[in-house]
Amino acid sequence: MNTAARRIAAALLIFTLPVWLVACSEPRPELPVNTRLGGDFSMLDQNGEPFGPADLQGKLSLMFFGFTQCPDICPATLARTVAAWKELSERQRSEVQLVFVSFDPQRDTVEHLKEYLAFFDPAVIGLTGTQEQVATMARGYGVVYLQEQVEPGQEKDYLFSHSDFVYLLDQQGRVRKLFKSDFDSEELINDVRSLL
Amino acid sequence: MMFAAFFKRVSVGAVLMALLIVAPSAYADVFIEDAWVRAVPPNSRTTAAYFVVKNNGSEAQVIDRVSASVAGAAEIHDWIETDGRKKMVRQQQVVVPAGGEVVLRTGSLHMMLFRLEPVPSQGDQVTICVGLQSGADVCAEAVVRHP
Repeated sequence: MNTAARRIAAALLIFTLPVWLVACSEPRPELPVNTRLGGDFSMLDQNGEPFGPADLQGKLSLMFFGFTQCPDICPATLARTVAAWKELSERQRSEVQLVFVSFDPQRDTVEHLKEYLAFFDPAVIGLTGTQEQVATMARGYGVVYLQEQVEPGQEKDYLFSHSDFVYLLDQQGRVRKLFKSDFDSEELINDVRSLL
Repeated sequence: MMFAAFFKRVSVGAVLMALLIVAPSAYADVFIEDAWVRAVPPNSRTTAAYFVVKNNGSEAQVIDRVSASVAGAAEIHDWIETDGRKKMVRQQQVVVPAGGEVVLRTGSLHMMLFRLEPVPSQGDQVTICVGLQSGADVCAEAVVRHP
């Protein structure tokens, strides 16, 4: 590069620098509030304590619906969500709760959930309830799940087909964003931080 | 009499040797790479295995059964998405094309392990096998780990 070209490059850098700085410091667009999802529900957490909409307030929540006998997507999504959560600072983590809601209360008892979720992180809250309680909560969040038929002799190995979104809820318990289970961790972390 | 017994033994040995030599070479073109099993909580009854099946041969190979040393049953499943739901569908057969490969990975084609006994821990080795329609089984050691 000759001297003239170097000068032009330097001038371009100097003149465009303020534009770059403004672009980088521009705030992220605010996440819209999804008013269609949510509603009343009554569940039990992994310690057998009641858990309702009020428990989704005061902190951000990353919430996922699944079942513990799910071999692939549920443990993968749980692990990825926990890993993203661990990317936050200690102070930020204390302001974000992780909630796993089971739609398989027949097998996912309080005790079972507690042991299962501790494997990922003891901080993960597990919710279960009766079939009706689970159905009510799932309906409120637009979650679809269906127990699939199994072959004779494999009754205990039943599986579910289900939606696979991770929900980001704000401190008022309002849904602010849905992520697919193969979410981009950086995007999720940035969205979480934008609400803190 | 002794000669006959000796001849019989030698014959059996020769057949066995021939099998040992021929059998692997017939299926040596098919092999498993990068096998791992998802580490799951100790109270889990299921997990999944992921790997690549490669076929360096000139003919396609069909996988029609799978097994794992720690599972009461194993199946290959794929995910399909309909009406906003993701559904696992058992694959009775999986074709590994000639000179090609089949990849089993999270959120896609994967091997399900049911009725774990025992539930393997992180760092354990699990023997996984895919059975080819031609009769051979191709096995590999899969390490249990987090993704």
